[in-house]
Amino acid sequence: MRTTTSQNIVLFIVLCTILILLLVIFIAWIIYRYQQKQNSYFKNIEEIKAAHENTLLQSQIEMQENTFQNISKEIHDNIGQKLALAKLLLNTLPYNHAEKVPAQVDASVGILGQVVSELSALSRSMSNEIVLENGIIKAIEAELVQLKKAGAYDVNFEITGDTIFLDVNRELVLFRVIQEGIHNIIKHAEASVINISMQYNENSLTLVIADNGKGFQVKQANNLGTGIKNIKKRIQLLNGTCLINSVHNNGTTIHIEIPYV
Amino acid sequence: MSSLFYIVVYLGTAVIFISSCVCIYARRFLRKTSKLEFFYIYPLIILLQSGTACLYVIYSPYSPRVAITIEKFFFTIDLFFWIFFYHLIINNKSKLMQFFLVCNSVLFVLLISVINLLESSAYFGVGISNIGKCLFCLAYFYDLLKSTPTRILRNEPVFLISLGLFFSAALNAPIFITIAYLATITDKLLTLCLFSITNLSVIVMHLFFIKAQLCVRQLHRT
Repeated sequence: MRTTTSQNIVLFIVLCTILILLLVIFIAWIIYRYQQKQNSYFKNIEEIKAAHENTLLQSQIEMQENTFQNISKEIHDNIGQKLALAKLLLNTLPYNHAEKVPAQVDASVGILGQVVSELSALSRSMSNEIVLENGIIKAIEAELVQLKKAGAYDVNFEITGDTIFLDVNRELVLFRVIQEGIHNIIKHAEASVINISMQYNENSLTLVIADNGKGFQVKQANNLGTGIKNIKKRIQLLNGTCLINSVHNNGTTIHIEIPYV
Repeated sequence: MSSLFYIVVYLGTAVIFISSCVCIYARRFLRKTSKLEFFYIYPLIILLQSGTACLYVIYSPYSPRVAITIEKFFFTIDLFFWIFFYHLIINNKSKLMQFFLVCNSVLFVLLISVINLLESSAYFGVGISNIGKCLFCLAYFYDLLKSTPTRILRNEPVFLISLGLFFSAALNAPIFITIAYLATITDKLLTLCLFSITNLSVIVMHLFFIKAQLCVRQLHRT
């Protein structure tokens, strides 16, 4: 009887141990499978992040190259031509006819004055000091003051909501977007009115750049215009959204929304 | 051996009591929208279990039928609790999973009802309800493996609760299903061993519950 009881107990202990071991193995297997899946998932996330950062870096390099090209074009087409003309005027001073010399010198001085103004304007537009020192609102106001001086545009700037100070780099990128937008209006829109509005929402900033120009085909501009591409890439850097609406002869509106962080 | 059995019983009672207290304490750290909120009814279930166990001990010498009825009532409530819990917790909205959960729920409710009516002892019903709990735990593990793996399992309260429940239910199911038969062919000592094992598995389950509640508090802090 005792032997039977002991055997039964031993058998019972063995069976229980086997059952417990099987349960532990099963639980360990679930944890192992989940861990594997988690490692693979996080690896995918890292790859996607790296690809996204690579794309952003490519965009930044492309934008830099475009900026250099624009500066090069500006210098060659405008400033370079004017300096060449001033040099020509000074090289061909009519020393034999002394009475004509002052007029030619004055013309050269006039051209050089224009070159200095244009270089100063170019330098100012490329500089980020005004944004770094005074913030984006003052920078936009200064930009619009320069625009008003030309006398060709009726410019309006409106701010709604409580001003929130963004990170200086974000403000800089946003400022370049506004400059690009204004530049596009001057070059292509044939507009007379430019309206810029900034609305500070709870979690995001809404920026609208509107004009009353001739409008354009948005799809065509996406394929050809670097200005629109630059704007979109810059907004993408800020994790924002950019919508462009344009109606033929009824103006263009660029609607941008960017989060604060 | 019988003294070891009683030590396990007292230890189990202490662990269950601590588990209920930790559960009540950790409740305040839970987010209001958390699905885990339903779990905090469990201390009531534990109270019910303790009350049932006391009533069973009191009534069994005088009226075993009443004692068995009380026992059946308790494990039925216990099973219903876990059915509702897993219906809330499992996120998978696929038709297969919904079908599995509904079928399982209906099947086990019917099965338990029939067993309660037909069986004279409560043990077989407890065994079947443990199988039901195992199946719900397996459904949760399946849902966990199919979902996006963003959770850290060692700090995930629902995972720890399911782990403890699965371990206890899987270990208890074969014991309770066969205990009535085993009691007739073996002596009292082995029966006490079997009940010691079931009590130990309940202790392990409640230790996992305590860890799960501490994780709720830790998640709140982070």
